[in-house]
Amino acid sequence: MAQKPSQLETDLNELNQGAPKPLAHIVGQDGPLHTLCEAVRCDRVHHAWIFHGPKGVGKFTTALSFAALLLNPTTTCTADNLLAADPDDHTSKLLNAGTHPDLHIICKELARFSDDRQIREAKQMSIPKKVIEQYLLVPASLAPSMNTGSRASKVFIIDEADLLDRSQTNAPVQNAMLKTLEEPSPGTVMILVTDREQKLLPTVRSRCQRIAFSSLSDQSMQLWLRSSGLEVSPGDVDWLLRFVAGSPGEFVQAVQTGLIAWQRTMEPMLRAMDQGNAPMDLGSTMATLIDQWAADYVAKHRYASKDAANKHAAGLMLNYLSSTIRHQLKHDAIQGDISAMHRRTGMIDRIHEAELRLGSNVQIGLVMEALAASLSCPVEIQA
Amino acid sequence: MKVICDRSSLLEAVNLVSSVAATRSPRLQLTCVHLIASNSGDGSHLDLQATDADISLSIRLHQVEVQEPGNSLIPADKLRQIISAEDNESTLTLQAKNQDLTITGNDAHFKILGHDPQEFPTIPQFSTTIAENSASLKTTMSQQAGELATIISRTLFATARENSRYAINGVLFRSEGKYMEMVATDGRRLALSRTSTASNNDSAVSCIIPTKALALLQKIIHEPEEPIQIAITENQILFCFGDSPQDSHATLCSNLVEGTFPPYEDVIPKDQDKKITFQKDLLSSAVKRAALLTNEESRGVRLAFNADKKTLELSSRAPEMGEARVSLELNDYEGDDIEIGFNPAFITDALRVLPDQQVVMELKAANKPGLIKAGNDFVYVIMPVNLQ
Repeated sequence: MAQKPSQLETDLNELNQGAPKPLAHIVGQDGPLHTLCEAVRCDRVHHAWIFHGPKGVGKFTTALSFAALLLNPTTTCTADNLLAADPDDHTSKLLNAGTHPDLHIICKELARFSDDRQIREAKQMSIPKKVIEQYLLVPASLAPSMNTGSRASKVFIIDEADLLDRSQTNAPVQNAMLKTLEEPSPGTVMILVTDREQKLLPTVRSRCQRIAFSSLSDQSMQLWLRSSGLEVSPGDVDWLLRFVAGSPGEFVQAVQTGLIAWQRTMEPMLRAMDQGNAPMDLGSTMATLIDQWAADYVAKHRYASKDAANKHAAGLMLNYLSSTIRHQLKHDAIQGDISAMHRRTGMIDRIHEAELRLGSNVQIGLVMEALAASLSCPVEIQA
Repeated sequence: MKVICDRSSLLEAVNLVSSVAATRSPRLQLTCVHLIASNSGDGSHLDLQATDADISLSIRLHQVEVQEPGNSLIPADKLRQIISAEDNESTLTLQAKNQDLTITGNDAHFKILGHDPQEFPTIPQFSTTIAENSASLKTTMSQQAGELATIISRTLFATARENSRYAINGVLFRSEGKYMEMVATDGRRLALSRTSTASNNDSAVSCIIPTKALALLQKIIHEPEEPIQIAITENQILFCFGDSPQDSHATLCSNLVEGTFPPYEDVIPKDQDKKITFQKDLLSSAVKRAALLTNEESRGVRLAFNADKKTLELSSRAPEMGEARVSLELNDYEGDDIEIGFNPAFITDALRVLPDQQVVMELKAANKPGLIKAGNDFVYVIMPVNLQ
């Protein structure tokens, strides 16, 4: 008997990115929330926004909630100076189900639905122009499907806006968006979400109101962790909090994708390296962990690209190494061990070099081998 | 749901609604056809609905026997392929169970995995839209299908494609008094077609309709005498086929294009002093032949009118290819000699959609736009090409 593919539903929900949260549930971003609520309260909502800041600190979550409030005709100010909408309103139900026709979420995975086969099969290292045309420029030119009298008639959220292709050899996507960003039809709001704002053209940035999100303080992270409902063993919590450095999104990802296992494999190897017995297989182990993580991720996410997942996993590995070394550096500083501090800063420089190599598309295995070799060498020899 | 359908009418309806459904979409419901079988006071019928989020189409089939009312949400492409392939069957039985649909013929049985029909978006209906959007309702009117098809075909070809000025990617629809007109332009030519209407709109109403919706409307129109009810709101236009929304067999709804259409009336020249009457077929043939020796770089055809000899010489030249010269005798010519260049495709595009045998070309100067007219209800403006 034929069976309905259950994975498909999960994957589609994954693209819809979940239901919008009430603003009161967003932790540690009081400044950005205040700015957004003031804009609504004063009825001066700009048509183009950039939400920028580190990964996983709530930029997209805030963008989704803000979009939902703009699209909802029942949105009002609350006693705590925030905004809220009637949860039983028809618009709220559509937004919670991810089926509101005038909320458009654009992400790199939409390339999988392009009519162009080349784009469907691309590595998703950028958001192609055809995706922006199909999901932003054309819908932005049409009237909204619903006419509810809300503050905004259509909202577009572009996640990972830094991936908007700006290479000279390919279609300059960001240039194609300029006219729409400058003067969209009345009631249209666009939110660009990015953790690398410098990748956006100055002409794009100048057309948008910029909202800076920052990493959460230790206190906010503890508050968030208590309300998150995540089950993590107390032994792992300290390491995870150190690793994610104030990013709830990274924390959730680390728990859900099994990054704790990295710590268990890597920690003894890094300790041995610190004692002068650098393991020969450090580079290959790092490359294997990256490859496994990416393979697992692609298996669980139907529309993800293996190349993009590899690159993401390599970034996580470098983050892991740098957070560990930073922690040791802090310890050395307390001990007053100048020589060790010198060695650690040299190691952080090596990690930065590896990051640049990854950005230049050097093969991940080679980057990790080279990094392991350079980390194993005393800094004096490298100098 | 269990329903026995006449295959040919089902195929026709499925072909139409499938053309609305998205081929690929992150929202799976938009790639599906929603089937609703019901027994109401006016007999059994099967409704087929599809939408791509901007345009929605609902078709009602009466050539069905509904044994069990119900609904089903089925991927459009597979439904169409199966019904199309079952070409030996006169009837097909559609039965829905647990979100899946079985299609049974005499010698074949198909089971298509469907989805929850509750997830399908609500398709706007004519009567409900009018009732629920009274504040944003601009107008309602009625027009004969044939008249509407004529003004669509005479303008749709002139719309811009992939232009960043999205307003001219659609067709302007305007109604005032007892007239309605459509206007399309791509910046280098403009087509205007006008017709009368039974309704009387005291105030002018205008909107820009996406080309996809109008192309679909053309496909649905079969009976030229059939009335079409039209409703325009702030953000949507609805076309309802039939004498009244209650017994309608098709309803098309489209989101409108936002933006401002260029002031087209200023573009239409009013002081042309050279007037030439052509037999459409002769002019079309001459332009097509002269266009044979044009290429991407030299896309223009030179039209040299001689007032004394009453002749037109069409010539073209393409570097490294050659040159062409075609002569045409004119029956009727008013004005002085003139030489002017036009993109030949722009002329043949317009002649192709005109049923009239006689067309009139009006010119002013080599650097001024030309005008093609057919009767009182078609005006076509073409910008000249510099052939120097």
